[in-house]
Amino acid sequence: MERYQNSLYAVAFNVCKNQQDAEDAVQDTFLQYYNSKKEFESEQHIRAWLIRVAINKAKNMNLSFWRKNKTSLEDYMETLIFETPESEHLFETVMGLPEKYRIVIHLFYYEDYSVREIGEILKISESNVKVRLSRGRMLLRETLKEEWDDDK
Amino acid sequence: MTNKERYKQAFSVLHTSDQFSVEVENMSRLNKKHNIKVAAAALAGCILLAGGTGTAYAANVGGIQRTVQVWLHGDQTTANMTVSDDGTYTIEYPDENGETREISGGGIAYEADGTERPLTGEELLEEANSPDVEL
Repeated sequence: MERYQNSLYAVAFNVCKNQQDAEDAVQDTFLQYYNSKKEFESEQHIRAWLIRVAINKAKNMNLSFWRKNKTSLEDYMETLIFETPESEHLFETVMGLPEKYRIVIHLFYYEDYSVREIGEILKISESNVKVRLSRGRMLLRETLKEEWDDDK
Repeated sequence: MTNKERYKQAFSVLHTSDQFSVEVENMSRLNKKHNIKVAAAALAGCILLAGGTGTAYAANVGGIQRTVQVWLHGDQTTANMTVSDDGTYTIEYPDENGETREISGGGIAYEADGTERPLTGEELLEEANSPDVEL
């Protein structure tokens, strides 16, 4: 569980932009895993399944009427200790992207998933992933300028 | 530095709170207990089906076969309870005509990692005697 904990939290936070909601989403994900009778083929299969469930749980949190949302993103970011100002700028810029681009960007740059794998996790086509990735990169490049390479 | 390295450096600041692990472990433990209770409900159902209201308690806990007291048809009856490795149990008891009757059942529990295991004899007895079943 500890192996995936922070990874799932990062992906859930990417969706919720809220610490408490993201932690709730991860907890629900682990509970679903414990209750699941699903047979996993490999470690990679478990990881991908956990990420997909965490994303869905986080999306549900966003839709929930009872969404906690007690701490704003700005307040939470003040508690984070970034290695460099550029890192903080990148984090802030990614959080400002539309959700559909944010998730794809995160799975590609943080989880090292390929376009095909991202499509399988999000249940969308590869071409759709490519479009979202391209637009997300373009928006990052527009804001971050020389802090973000053009890696098309 | 590549974009991936930049991105990972920026998002490496995200960590769950200190209390997070404990909460998940507590919830999984509660969840495990809940599943045992559900299994016990099936066990209680089997006993009720066989002989009306029933209460069992062990006189010799620790071995594979135990002597238990079972309330059947309003009478306390001494019976032999045999617990198998696969989590099933068999209770043999004499009926009002002295003939040996048999009731059986079983149950499973979920471990924290999601794997199933058979209930132990102690768990079967504990849950059989549990006054309330939480579903």
